[in-house]
Amino acid sequence: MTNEHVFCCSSFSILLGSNQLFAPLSVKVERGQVVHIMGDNGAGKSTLLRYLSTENVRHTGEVAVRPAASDILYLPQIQLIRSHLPFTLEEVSSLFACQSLQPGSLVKKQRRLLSEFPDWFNAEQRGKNWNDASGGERMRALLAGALRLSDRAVLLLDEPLNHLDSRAMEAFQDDVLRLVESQGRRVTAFLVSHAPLELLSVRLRSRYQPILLQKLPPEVDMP
Amino acid sequence: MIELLAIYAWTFPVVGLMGALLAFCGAHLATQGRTLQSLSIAQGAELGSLVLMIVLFSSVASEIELASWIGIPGAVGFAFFCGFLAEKILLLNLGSRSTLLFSLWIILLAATQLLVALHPALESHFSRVAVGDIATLTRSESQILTLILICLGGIVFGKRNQYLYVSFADAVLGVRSNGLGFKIPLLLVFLPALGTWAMGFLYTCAAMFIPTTLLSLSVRAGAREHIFRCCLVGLLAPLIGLYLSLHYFSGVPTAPILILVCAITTIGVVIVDSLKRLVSVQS
Repeated sequence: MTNEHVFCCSSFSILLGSNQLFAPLSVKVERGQVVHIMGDNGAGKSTLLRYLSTENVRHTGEVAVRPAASDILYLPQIQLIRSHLPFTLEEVSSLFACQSLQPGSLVKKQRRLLSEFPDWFNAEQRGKNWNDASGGERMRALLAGALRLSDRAVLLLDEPLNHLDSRAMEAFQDDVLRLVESQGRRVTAFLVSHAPLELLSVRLRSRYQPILLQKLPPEVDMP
Repeated sequence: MIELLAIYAWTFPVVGLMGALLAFCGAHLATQGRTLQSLSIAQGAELGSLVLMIVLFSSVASEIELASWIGIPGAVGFAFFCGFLAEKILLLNLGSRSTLLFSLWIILLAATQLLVALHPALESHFSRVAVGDIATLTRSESQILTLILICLGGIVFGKRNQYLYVSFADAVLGVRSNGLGFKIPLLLVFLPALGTWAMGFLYTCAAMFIPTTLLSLSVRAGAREHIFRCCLVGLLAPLIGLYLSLHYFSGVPTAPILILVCAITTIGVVIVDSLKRLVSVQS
């Protein structure tokens, strides 16, 4: 284990009551990898991301390294459809820069978003109300913020490909590749997805790490 | 009339700043689904303020004239306690969380009524923290409150983008920020508790939620603009309301006048917006 690792565990599983959620997992994840977490519905993929996002979740096994909270950007699945505050899609994207930037630089970043991100947004979509946007437009707004405006080194993305059309999927994969290949930040991306990430797996080869979570029947008790 | 306005000169900045800050709080708390939690917290502040008065009345010689400032620690302390309880309820994985929060508020309301019935001497203080009697704020209270509110306004203004992020993450992504962590208590506990102590429960709840809920009827894209408009209405409506109260309705409590003016002003803004949109569509 070195400083290059962001997550190392052995015989790790998450506990629901006294039951293990998935078969014990032993894995070492290095900086600059794209980790593709797969598994059946209910296998614990999203719960594993929540654990990585430093949420306090009971588990078995040993965890030697896990990401620091200050390094993490966690993008869970969208929970509610409507928001009381009428966020525009552009505001949603710009919010990802809020935690690490001063308001002044936020405005500059936002302006850059306007001019440089045509692959994620067109002018009409940027001013659209979140409540009126389609699922795909919302996901684009979230991903544009997460991938372009955040400066976090560990991305935890839960079902990021949901609702995306083929053009947005390409933009997403290009952005992930750019981030993990960049020498400065060496971003590590944990992706939960049922979609086969063929393009990523081919282009990244050595950087691509699949993790298959195998569901255990609920009656299996802890040893 | 001019003499009357001069007497209440320092009350104007208090009601204006408090109105703007409470409207800011309300917009965020409504987005975070904390409306019912806020009711319990404001009620808790009212109850805490009364409890501290009772403790002091029974332990300290009653002839000592107690400054009304002693209500603040009680209000804030009990508001934190109620906020903690309500936060625990919100974190429960139950479908009936809203009903539980409503029940908590009713219990606190009943406890407040019981306390006042048992200690009739607190009737005037209860009247202030329940309905609100803004005109009874002394000059020194108003001056100190103005200073506190300016400082709180500066903090809130500096953190406005982070508050937006927290509210969005909470509402849409379901990433519940720790309600008792660093950022939320100012919005969730301290300002509502201070508002309840200074302006009363009724005015505090109204100032938090009337501007944001009514303005949301005038659907517009832009969370920042919505919050700005809430704060503007929150700032101006109580100033107009206090002037009208002092000038035309001096015989009735100030808080209901302020609340009605706040509602009317907000509805006016919504109607003007709708008319503007209608005109722009037609042209």
